[in-house]
Amino acid sequence: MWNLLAVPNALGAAAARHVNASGRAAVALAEVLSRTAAGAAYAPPGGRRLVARTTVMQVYFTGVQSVPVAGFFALLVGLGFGHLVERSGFFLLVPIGQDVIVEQLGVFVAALAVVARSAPAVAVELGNMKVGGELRMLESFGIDPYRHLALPRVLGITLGVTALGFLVTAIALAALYSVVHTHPEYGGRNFWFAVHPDQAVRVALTGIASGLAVALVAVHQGFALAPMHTEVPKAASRAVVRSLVLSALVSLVIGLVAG
Amino acid sequence: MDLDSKTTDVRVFATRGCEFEYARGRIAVPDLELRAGEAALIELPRAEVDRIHTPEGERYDGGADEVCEVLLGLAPAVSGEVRLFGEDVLQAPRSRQLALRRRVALALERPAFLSTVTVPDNVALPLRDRRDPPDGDAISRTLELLERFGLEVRGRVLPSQLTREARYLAGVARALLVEAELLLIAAPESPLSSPLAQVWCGALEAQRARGAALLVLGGPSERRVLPFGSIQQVRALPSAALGG
Repeated sequence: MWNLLAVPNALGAAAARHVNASGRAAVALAEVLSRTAAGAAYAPPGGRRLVARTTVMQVYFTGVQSVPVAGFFALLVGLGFGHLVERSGFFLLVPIGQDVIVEQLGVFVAALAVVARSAPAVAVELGNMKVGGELRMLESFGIDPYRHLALPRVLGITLGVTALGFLVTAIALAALYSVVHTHPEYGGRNFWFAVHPDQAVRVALTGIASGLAVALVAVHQGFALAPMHTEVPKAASRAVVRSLVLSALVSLVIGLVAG
Repeated sequence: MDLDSKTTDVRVFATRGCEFEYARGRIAVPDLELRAGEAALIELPRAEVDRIHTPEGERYDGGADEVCEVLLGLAPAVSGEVRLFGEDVLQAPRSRQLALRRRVALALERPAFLSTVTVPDNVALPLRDRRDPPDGDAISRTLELLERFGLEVRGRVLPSQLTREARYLAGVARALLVEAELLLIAAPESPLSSPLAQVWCGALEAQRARGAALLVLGGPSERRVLPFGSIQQVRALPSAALGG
């Protein structure tokens, strides 16, 4: 009898631990978000200018420098789907492919590129700063690390993912169009008329939510590590895995809610 | 900032019954009060403080940095209170602590710097954050002050390229530049050369003349160098005596 119950008991305990850990992680991310927002609200004028300057640099690092990688993946997605349709002859799949690219894949590919490039970079940078006592130094001068360090990264990554999401979507659609443009029904102007303007709102929303998810996870991993050098690579690894999972979850939830 | 217009009966800084804990025991900070334009030296019996180890096993041979951090609410105290401008900084919420610290400048024995930012940008950071001066103005003032301390750091010099003494002096310059109402300064671990010691003392005296309150943490050697007294000792209490 004991043996029969041992497995479900263990599974139940593991599930409870996972739920508990997820709850704690959600609370931690909410705390990063609220502290960052509070830091923005209480910023002195000089602090605001420093944040603005760092945010522009972060948008460049996240959005602009990721364009080659994200653009390459967008080309692969668009061309791959186009050739699949062309070879199979199922041109009915073109509108479905368009919707998948616009509503899911475009932003997800953008988030993927940012997760690979920026999330570990942010976690390592902030982690090293914590180990080196730099966060405490900022606090000693009344400079809120959440304002000075987290806010530009959160804004930069969120804006970067959103802008990159639009660009990746456009490149993937253009790549798909380059394959199917001669089709009488789904090619030509009809291809572009099939994309609805309200889908742009969805791209923006998904981009903002995914970018926020990536940024908050990366910042949290950097700030929350124990101040030891051996913890920094672990934080980088966690930042990649968790921001990827959260970003995918966020896209899924927005997809389900939007229908 | 000219503080002459401020009334001198406002208590800038006060401690009462403040004790904090480290792995080897507790440290008691003397009770004191500072008003605008006043200065005091808290004397650290270095031999006692030397023995402190951090939880990570790192050894500190100073002690002043740890006391400074407690006095600004950066490290928790076991008991007592530290009042900055009339408010208990240890009990204040985080946003209030940050606001209070923006009126203070801190120079540690082993100051931390942003490792990827040049020395002048590091030194100018608190000034830029608090006052938002034009970029050229902030950097020229910074370089001028650094040169007074014998630091030629034009170009892309990073903090990791500085010697320990140069890092200390850059930390002092960073604290002086913001012209705070209270300057909390740890004396250098090893004595400065005679001309540098004169510059250091002169800079502190100038801050006091400006109307800032000044609290120096150092050893017996600073007692001979500094022109002000009010010497009180930090006590290192063995943990056994406190049941720790």
